[in-house]
Amino acid sequence: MGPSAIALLLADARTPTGAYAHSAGLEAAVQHGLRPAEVPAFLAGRLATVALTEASLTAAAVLAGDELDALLHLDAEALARCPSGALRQAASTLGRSLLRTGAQLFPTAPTIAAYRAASAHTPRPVALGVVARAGGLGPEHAALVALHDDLSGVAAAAVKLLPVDAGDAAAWIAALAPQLEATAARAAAAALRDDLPSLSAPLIERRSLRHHADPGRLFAS
Amino acid sequence: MRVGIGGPVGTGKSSLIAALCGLLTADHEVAVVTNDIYTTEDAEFLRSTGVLPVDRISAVQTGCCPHTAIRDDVTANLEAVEELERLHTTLELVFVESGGDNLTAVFGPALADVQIFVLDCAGGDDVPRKGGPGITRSDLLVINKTDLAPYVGADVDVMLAGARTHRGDLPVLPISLRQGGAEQVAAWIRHQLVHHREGTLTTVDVGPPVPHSHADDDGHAHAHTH
Repeated sequence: MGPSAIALLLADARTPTGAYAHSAGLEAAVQHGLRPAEVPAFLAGRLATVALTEASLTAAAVLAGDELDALLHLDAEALARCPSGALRQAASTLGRSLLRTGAQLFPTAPTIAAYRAASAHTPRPVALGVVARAGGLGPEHAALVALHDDLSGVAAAAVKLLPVDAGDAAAWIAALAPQLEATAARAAAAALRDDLPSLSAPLIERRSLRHHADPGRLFAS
Repeated sequence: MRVGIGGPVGTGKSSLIAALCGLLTADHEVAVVTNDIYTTEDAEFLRSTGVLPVDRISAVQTGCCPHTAIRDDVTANLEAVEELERLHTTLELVFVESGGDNLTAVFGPALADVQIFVLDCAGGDDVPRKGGPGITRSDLLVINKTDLAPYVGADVDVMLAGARTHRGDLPVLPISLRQGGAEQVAAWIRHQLVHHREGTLTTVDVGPPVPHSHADDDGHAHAHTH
């Protein structure tokens, strides 16, 4: 799979990537009445749809290696799978932040700087693949990091948005661990077949538009 | 030069920045990044004052973590600052306003070249005595709302003494923004900007909330090398 210490570092919320300001659609869902007991279903829903799609893009970016054209093509693939302008913007901001830190972690990796300079959108799934590859991770390991990041971002936001015990929030992810690993394998396999999934979560996408215009929101997305 | 403005909620950070923009924009190219608790409230306040064109004000959301955004993970703020610098290539000063937090929330050296910590008399005259990194080692400590002191039972001299216990000779400005106090802060910033241009400004890392130390005080009233 590749170096586990780097995978842990990339998955660690203490590694600065700006992700703490995003809820992966949870705040919008809470505004629409999502209750604490429903968050595990929200997590499972993301895992089966948008998280898998994005993790496949991450795995594909690892496989693209130093080929800048292939990475920029993946930008287009990512945009095509993200119809919400608000979510595109969030992904772009998160991708830029990740590349900034990635360049500090792996200063001699040429593709981080090249991709950062050439990409107009830097969607986070592709940026994560670029950084993960610079750290020596394989596609499945990188997909696992992507999926863990997706779910732990929701869980961390849940603790701030809802009356939720932080230990319970971590336990939600522990309960999903088998699916998380299986989904990482699916994402990597899809990338290897060059058959990226296009699973979407229409409610998350639609709600993101109103959330983006909400002057009282706590999270950027 | 990037100037961090921190301090607890309600002490006058937004009002100070608005007043500073009014004073500094005649001679300097200025932009502001706000870190709102509720998305764009501080940015909207600043836009409503009309002191800056709206494209020079950028709002960064901090997901309930205003302290994280200025120290532990400054990436979102750095992106916002650099975007402003890309859009306005002649910028000289960028203010970054913290979302308002407790006494331990201070800017990291990657984000702010200098930082100002703002307290106010209405928050209680015992606050400076409590210490913490913002009070102890910020480049400038502002004590705002001195005009309110007699009405809230606060003694400005007690606040200055409390600050001195922790800060030694680092500068403290007791001001009332309502009575034109921002001019003193603007003068301090102009002075820092001169040092910044000369390359003689050294970022003082405010650091973790450790007990006070005088080890690096040099008897001078501002943070720069000699």
